[in-house]
Amino acid sequence: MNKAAVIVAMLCLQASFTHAQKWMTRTGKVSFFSATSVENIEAFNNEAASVIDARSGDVAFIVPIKSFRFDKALMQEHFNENYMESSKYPKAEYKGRITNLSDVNFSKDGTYNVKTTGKLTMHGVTKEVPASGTIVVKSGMATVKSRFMVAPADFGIRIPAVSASKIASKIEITVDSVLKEAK
Amino acid sequence: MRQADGIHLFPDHLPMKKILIILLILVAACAGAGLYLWNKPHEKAEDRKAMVVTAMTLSGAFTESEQKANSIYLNQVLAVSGTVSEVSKNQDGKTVIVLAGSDPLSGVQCTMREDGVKAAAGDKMTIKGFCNGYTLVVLLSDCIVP
Repeated sequence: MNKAAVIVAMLCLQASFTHAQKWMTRTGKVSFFSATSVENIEAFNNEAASVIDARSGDVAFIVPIKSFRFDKALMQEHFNENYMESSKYPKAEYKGRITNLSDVNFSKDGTYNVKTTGKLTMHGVTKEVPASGTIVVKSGMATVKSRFMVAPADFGIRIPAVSASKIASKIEITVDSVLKEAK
Repeated sequence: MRQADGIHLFPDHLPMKKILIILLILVAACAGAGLYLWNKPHEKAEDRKAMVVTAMTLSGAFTESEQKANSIYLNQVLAVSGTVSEVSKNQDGKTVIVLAGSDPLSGVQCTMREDGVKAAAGDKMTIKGFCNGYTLVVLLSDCIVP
Protein backbone atom coordinates (compact mmCIF):
# COMPACT_ATOMS: atom_id res chain seq x y z
CA MET A 1 0.00 0.00 0.00
CA ASN A 2 1.46 3.34 -0.89
CA LYS A 3 1.71 6.33 1.40
CA ALA A 4 -1.18 8.25 -0.15
CA ALA A 5 -3.54 5.30 0.23
CA VAL A 6 -2.61 5.03 3.91
CA ILE A 7 -3.31 8.73 4.41
CA VAL A 8 -6.69 8.44 2.70
CA ALA A 9 -7.59 5.39 4.78
CA MET A 10 -6.64 7.24 7.96
CA LEU A 11 -8.67 10.29 6.95
CA CYS A 12 -11.71 8.10 6.25
CA LEU A 13 -11.30 6.38 9.60
CA GLN A 14 -11.00 9.71 11.36
CA ALA A 15 -14.07 11.03 9.55
CA SER A 16 -16.15 8.06 10.65
CA PHE A 17 -15.32 8.71 14.31
CA THR A 18 -15.80 12.44 14.33
CA HIS A 19 -18.41 14.44 12.50
CA ALA A 20 -17.66 17.13 9.91
CA GLN A 21 -14.15 18.07 10.82
CA LYS A 22 -12.93 19.71 7.66
CA TRP A 23 -14.55 21.98 5.18
CA MET A 24 -12.90 22.71 1.89
CA THR A 25 -13.06 24.04 -1.65
CA ARG A 26 -10.73 24.25 -4.61
CA THR A 27 -12.96 26.63 -6.54
CA GLY A 28 -13.37 29.43 -4.01
CA LYS A 29 -14.16 32.93 -5.16
CA VAL A 30 -11.93 35.84 -4.22
CA SER A 31 -11.99 39.27 -5.84
CA PHE A 32 -10.46 42.67 -5.31
CA PHE A 33 -11.47 46.22 -5.97
CA SER A 34 -9.35 49.33 -6.31
CA ALA A 35 -11.23 52.62 -6.26
CA THR A 36 -9.73 55.96 -7.26
CA SER A 37 -11.23 59.11 -8.75
CA VAL A 38 -9.56 58.23 -12.08
CA GLU A 39 -10.85 54.69 -12.44
CA ASN A 40 -12.11 51.61 -10.63
CA ILE A 41 -10.32 48.34 -11.21
CA GLU A 42 -11.62 44.92 -10.25
CA ALA A 43 -10.51 41.36 -10.81
CA PHE A 44 -12.05 37.98 -10.05
CA ASN A 45 -10.63 34.61 -9.13
CA ASN A 46 -12.52 31.31 -9.05
CA GLU A 47 -9.60 29.04 -8.28
CA ALA A 48 -8.84 29.73 -4.65
CA ALA A 49 -8.41 26.71 -2.40
CA SER A 50 -9.52 26.84 1.20
CA VAL A 51 -9.62 24.50 4.16
CA ILE A 52 -11.26 25.21 7.50
CA ASP A 53 -10.83 22.85 10.42
CA ALA A 54 -14.05 23.10 12.40
CA ARG A 55 -12.50 21.67 15.53
CA SER A 56 -9.32 23.73 15.80
CA GLY A 57 -10.63 26.80 13.97
CA ASP A 58 -7.67 26.81 11.60
CA VAL A 59 -8.35 28.65 8.36
CA ALA A 60 -6.22 28.45 5.22
CA PHE A 61 -6.66 30.10 1.87
CA ILE A 62 -4.39 29.59 -1.12
CA VAL A 63 -5.02 32.09 -3.91
CA PRO A 64 -3.29 31.59 -7.26
CA ILE A 65 -2.32 35.04 -8.54
CA LYS A 66 -2.43 34.17 -12.23
CA SER A 67 -6.08 33.15 -11.88
CA PHE A 68 -7.24 36.75 -11.38
CA ARG A 69 -9.26 37.79 -14.42
CA PHE A 70 -9.45 41.44 -15.42
CA ASP A 71 -11.75 43.01 -17.94
CA LYS A 72 -8.74 44.42 -19.82
CA ALA A 73 -5.97 42.05 -20.93
CA LEU A 74 -3.43 44.86 -20.60
CA MET A 75 -4.30 45.44 -16.94
CA GLN A 76 -4.03 41.71 -16.26
CA GLU A 77 -0.58 41.74 -17.89
CA HIS A 78 0.61 44.72 -15.81
CA PHE A 79 -0.83 43.18 -12.63
CA ASN A 80 1.05 39.91 -13.21
CA GLU A 81 4.30 41.21 -14.63
CA ASN A 82 4.87 44.60 -13.01
CA TYR A 83 3.09 44.52 -9.67
CA MET A 84 2.58 40.98 -8.35
CA GLU A 85 5.50 39.39 -10.26
CA SER A 86 3.38 36.27 -10.39
CA SER A 87 5.97 34.14 -12.16
CA LYS A 88 8.19 34.56 -9.12
CA TYR A 89 5.38 34.59 -6.53
CA PRO A 90 2.55 32.53 -8.06
CA LYS A 91 0.28 32.44 -5.04
CA ALA A 92 -0.90 34.31 -2.00
CA GLU A 93 -1.63 32.45 1.22
CA TYR A 94 -3.63 33.28 4.30
CA LYS A 95 -3.11 31.13 7.34
CA GLY A 96 -5.13 32.03 10.37
CA ARG A 97 -7.37 30.93 13.17
CA ILE A 98 -10.94 31.75 14.13
CA THR A 99 -10.69 33.56 17.47
CA ASN A 100 -14.36 33.16 18.45
CA LEU A 101 -14.76 29.52 17.45
CA SER A 102 -17.21 28.81 20.29
CA ASP A 103 -19.72 31.15 18.57
CA VAL A 104 -19.78 28.96 15.45
CA ASN A 105 -21.74 25.74 15.21
CA PHE A 106 -20.72 24.03 11.99
CA SER A 107 -23.31 21.31 12.44
CA LYS A 108 -26.26 23.69 12.69
CA ASP A 109 -27.58 25.86 9.86
CA GLY A 110 -27.14 29.54 10.58
CA THR A 111 -25.17 32.72 9.99
CA TYR A 112 -22.20 33.18 12.28
CA ASN A 113 -20.03 36.26 12.72
CA VAL A 114 -16.41 35.28 12.74
CA LYS A 115 -13.12 36.98 13.55
CA THR A 116 -9.73 35.65 12.55
CA THR A 117 -6.14 36.49 13.24
CA GLY A 118 -3.62 35.31 10.74
CA LYS A 119 -0.80 35.91 8.37
CA LEU A 120 -1.11 36.88 4.74
CA THR A 121 1.83 36.06 2.50
CA MET A 122 2.00 37.59 -0.93
CA HIS A 123 4.69 38.94 -3.21
CA GLY A 124 7.18 37.22 -0.89
CA VAL A 125 6.18 39.30 2.14
CA THR A 126 4.29 38.02 5.20
CA LYS A 127 2.14 40.35 7.29
CA GLU A 128 -0.28 39.92 10.14
CA VAL A 129 -3.76 40.61 8.74
CA PRO A 130 -6.78 40.36 11.02
CA ALA A 131 -10.08 39.79 9.26
CA SER A 132 -13.72 39.51 10.11
CA GLY A 133 -16.67 38.17 8.23
CA THR A 134 -19.45 35.62 8.31
CA ILE A 135 -19.78 31.90 7.83
CA VAL A 136 -23.17 30.82 6.59
CA VAL A 137 -23.80 27.13 7.27
CA LYS A 138 -26.59 25.69 5.15
CA SER A 139 -27.34 22.18 3.94
CA GLY A 140 -23.84 20.78 4.09
CA MET A 141 -22.16 23.91 2.79
CA ALA A 142 -20.35 26.73 4.55
CA THR A 143 -20.10 30.06 2.74
CA VAL A 144 -17.24 32.22 3.96
CA LYS A 145 -17.69 35.92 3.36
CA SER A 146 -15.16 38.52 4.33
CA ARG A 147 -13.95 41.92 3.26
CA PHE A 148 -10.70 43.54 4.28
CA MET A 149 -8.24 46.15 3.08
CA VAL A 150 -4.69 45.47 1.99
CA ALA A 151 -2.07 48.09 1.15
CA PRO A 152 0.19 47.03 -1.76
CA ALA A 153 3.05 49.05 -0.21
CA ASP A 154 2.98 46.79 2.87
CA PHE A 155 3.83 43.85 0.62
CA GLY A 156 6.69 45.50 -1.23
CA ILE A 157 4.56 46.13 -4.31
CA ARG A 158 5.78 49.29 -5.97
CA ILE A 159 3.40 51.30 -8.09
CA PRO A 160 5.22 53.65 -10.47
CA ALA A 161 4.33 57.37 -10.32
CA VAL A 162 2.55 57.27 -13.71
CA SER A 163 0.05 54.71 -12.42
CA ALA A 164 -0.19 55.96 -8.85
CA SER A 165 -3.32 58.03 -9.50
CA LYS A 166 -5.15 55.03 -10.96
CA ILE A 167 -4.39 52.43 -8.30
CA ALA A 168 -5.70 52.83 -4.77
CA SER A 169 -3.20 52.80 -1.91
CA LYS A 170 -5.55 50.37 -0.17
CA ILE A 171 -7.19 47.56 -2.11
CA GLU A 172 -10.40 45.93 -0.93
CA ILE A 173 -10.25 42.13 -0.93
CA THR A 174 -13.55 40.25 -0.99
CA VAL A 175 -13.79 36.57 -0.11
CA ASP A 176 -16.99 34.75 -1.07
CA SER A 177 -16.19 31.06 -1.04
CA VAL A 178 -18.48 28.08 -0.68
CA LEU A 179 -16.84 25.24 1.25
CA LYS A 180 -18.16 21.71 1.44
CA GLU A 181 -17.78 19.15 4.18
CA ALA A 182 -14.83 16.98 3.30
CA LYS A 183 -16.05 13.43 3.80
CA MET B 1 10.70 80.48 -38.90
CA ARG B 2 12.24 81.45 -35.60
CA GLN B 3 15.55 80.13 -34.55
CA ALA B 4 16.63 79.29 -31.01
CA ASP B 5 20.34 79.89 -30.48
CA GLY B 6 20.94 79.11 -34.10
CA ILE B 7 19.29 75.67 -33.94
CA HIS B 8 16.44 75.19 -36.39
CA LEU B 9 13.34 74.18 -34.51
CA PHE B 10 11.58 73.46 -37.77
CA PRO B 11 13.14 73.28 -41.22
CA ASP B 12 12.69 76.63 -42.97
CA HIS B 13 11.22 75.17 -46.11
CA LEU B 14 8.26 73.51 -44.37
CA PRO B 15 5.19 75.69 -44.06
CA MET B 16 3.24 75.68 -40.82
CA LYS B 17 0.38 73.75 -42.39
CA LYS B 18 2.57 70.79 -43.29
CA ILE B 19 4.06 70.72 -39.81
CA LEU B 20 0.60 70.65 -38.30
CA ILE B 21 -0.45 67.79 -40.57
CA ILE B 22 2.62 65.76 -39.59
CA LEU B 23 1.96 66.42 -35.90
CA LEU B 24 -1.67 65.39 -36.31
CA ILE B 25 -0.66 62.13 -37.99
CA LEU B 26 1.81 61.41 -35.17
CA VAL B 27 -0.82 62.10 -32.50
CA ALA B 28 -3.34 59.90 -34.34
CA ALA B 29 -0.77 57.08 -34.63
CA CYS B 30 0.00 57.25 -30.90
CA ALA B 31 -3.68 57.35 -30.00
CA GLY B 32 -4.29 54.39 -32.32
CA ALA B 33 -1.48 52.36 -30.75
CA GLY B 34 -2.72 53.25 -27.27
CA LEU B 35 -6.27 52.30 -28.12
CA TYR B 36 -5.11 49.01 -29.60
CA LEU B 37 -3.12 48.15 -26.46
CA TRP B 38 -5.98 49.24 -24.17
CA ASN B 39 -8.49 47.05 -25.99
CA LYS B 40 -6.12 44.18 -26.68
CA PRO B 41 -8.07 40.92 -26.34
CA HIS B 42 -7.22 38.27 -23.75
CA GLU B 43 -4.86 35.64 -25.07
CA LYS B 44 -6.55 32.34 -25.90
CA ALA B 45 -5.26 28.81 -25.45
CA GLU B 46 -5.62 28.17 -29.19
CA ASP B 47 -3.28 31.10 -29.96
CA ARG B 48 -0.31 29.19 -28.62
CA LYS B 49 1.25 25.83 -29.26
CA ALA B 50 0.59 23.57 -26.31
CA MET B 51 3.06 21.54 -24.29
CA VAL B 52 1.74 17.98 -24.27
CA VAL B 53 1.69 16.21 -20.89
CA THR B 54 -0.34 13.58 -19.03
CA ALA B 55 -2.29 14.48 -15.88
CA MET B 56 -0.23 11.87 -13.99
CA THR B 57 3.11 13.39 -14.97
CA LEU B 58 1.89 16.95 -14.38
CA SER B 59 0.41 16.40 -10.93
CA GLY B 60 3.37 14.22 -9.98
CA ALA B 61 5.78 17.02 -10.89
CA PHE B 62 3.89 19.53 -8.72
CA THR B 63 3.56 17.24 -5.70
CA GLU B 64 7.24 16.42 -5.89
CA SER B 65 8.59 19.96 -6.24
CA GLU B 66 6.20 22.84 -6.76
CA GLN B 67 9.01 25.28 -7.46
CA LYS B 68 10.62 23.10 -10.11
CA ALA B 69 7.27 22.32 -11.72
CA ASN B 70 6.38 26.02 -11.79
CA SER B 71 9.59 26.76 -13.68
CA ILE B 72 8.52 24.29 -16.36
CA TYR B 73 4.73 24.59 -16.56
CA LEU B 74 3.56 27.90 -15.01
CA ASN B 75 2.06 30.31 -17.55
CA GLN B 76 2.38 27.74 -20.35
CA VAL B 77 -0.43 26.48 -22.52
CA LEU B 78 -0.71 22.76 -21.74
CA ALA B 79 -2.61 19.96 -23.46
CA VAL B 80 -3.25 17.57 -20.58
CA SER B 81 -4.63 14.10 -21.10
CA GLY B 82 -6.05 11.89 -18.39
CA THR B 83 -9.06 10.25 -16.82
CA VAL B 84 -11.88 12.44 -15.52
CA SER B 85 -12.32 11.99 -11.76
CA GLU B 86 -14.84 14.73 -11.05
CA VAL B 87 -17.12 17.13 -12.94
CA SER B 88 -18.70 20.11 -11.18
CA LYS B 89 -19.68 23.75 -11.57
CA ASN B 90 -17.88 26.61 -9.87
CA GLN B 91 -19.70 29.44 -8.07
CA ASP B 92 -20.09 31.35 -11.33
CA GLY B 93 -21.58 28.36 -13.15
CA LYS B 94 -18.47 27.43 -15.15
CA THR B 95 -17.80 23.75 -15.73
CA VAL B 96 -14.83 22.40 -13.79
CA ILE B 97 -13.31 19.07 -14.77
CA VAL B 98 -10.72 17.30 -12.62
CA LEU B 99 -8.33 14.86 -14.29
CA ALA B 100 -7.03 12.22 -11.90
CA GLY B 101 -3.49 12.74 -10.71
CA SER B 102 -0.66 10.62 -9.46
CA ASP B 103 -2.24 10.18 -6.02
CA PRO B 104 -5.89 10.26 -4.88
CA LEU B 105 -5.59 13.66 -3.21
CA SER B 106 -4.08 15.38 -6.22
CA GLY B 107 -5.14 16.05 -9.79
CA VAL B 108 -5.44 18.63 -12.55
CA GLN B 109 -8.38 20.98 -12.20
CA CYS B 110 -9.56 22.47 -15.49
CA THR B 111 -11.97 25.41 -15.56
CA MET B 112 -13.64 25.36 -18.97
CA ARG B 113 -14.12 28.54 -20.98
CA GLU B 114 -17.45 27.49 -22.46
CA ASP B 115 -20.42 25.57 -21.17
CA GLY B 116 -21.78 22.44 -22.74
CA VAL B 117 -18.65 20.31 -22.52
CA LYS B 118 -19.70 16.70 -22.18
CA ALA B 119 -17.68 14.90 -19.55
CA ALA B 120 -18.33 12.28 -16.92
CA ALA B 121 -16.17 10.56 -14.33
CA GLY B 122 -14.17 7.80 -15.98
CA ASP B 123 -13.97 9.48 -19.41
CA LYS B 124 -10.58 9.79 -21.05
CA MET B 125 -10.00 13.37 -22.21
CA THR B 126 -7.43 15.85 -23.41
CA ILE B 127 -7.93 19.42 -22.19
CA LYS B 128 -6.00 22.48 -23.28
CA GLY B 129 -5.58 25.58 -21.12
CA PHE B 130 -3.26 27.97 -19.27
CA CYS B 131 -1.38 26.60 -16.29
CA ASN B 132 -1.92 28.96 -13.33
CA GLY B 133 0.13 26.96 -10.86
CA TYR B 134 -0.80 24.79 -7.90
CA THR B 135 -2.98 25.04 -4.81
CA LEU B 136 -4.13 21.58 -3.66
CA VAL B 137 -4.40 20.61 -7.33
CA VAL B 138 -2.71 21.77 -10.54
CA LEU B 139 -4.75 24.56 -12.11
CA LEU B 140 -5.64 24.97 -15.75
CA SER B 141 -7.83 27.91 -16.71
CA ASP B 142 -9.77 29.19 -19.72
CA CYS B 143 -9.75 25.60 -21.02
CA ILE B 144 -10.97 24.14 -24.29
CA VAL B 145 -11.26 20.64 -25.66
CA PRO B 146 -9.01 20.72 -28.73
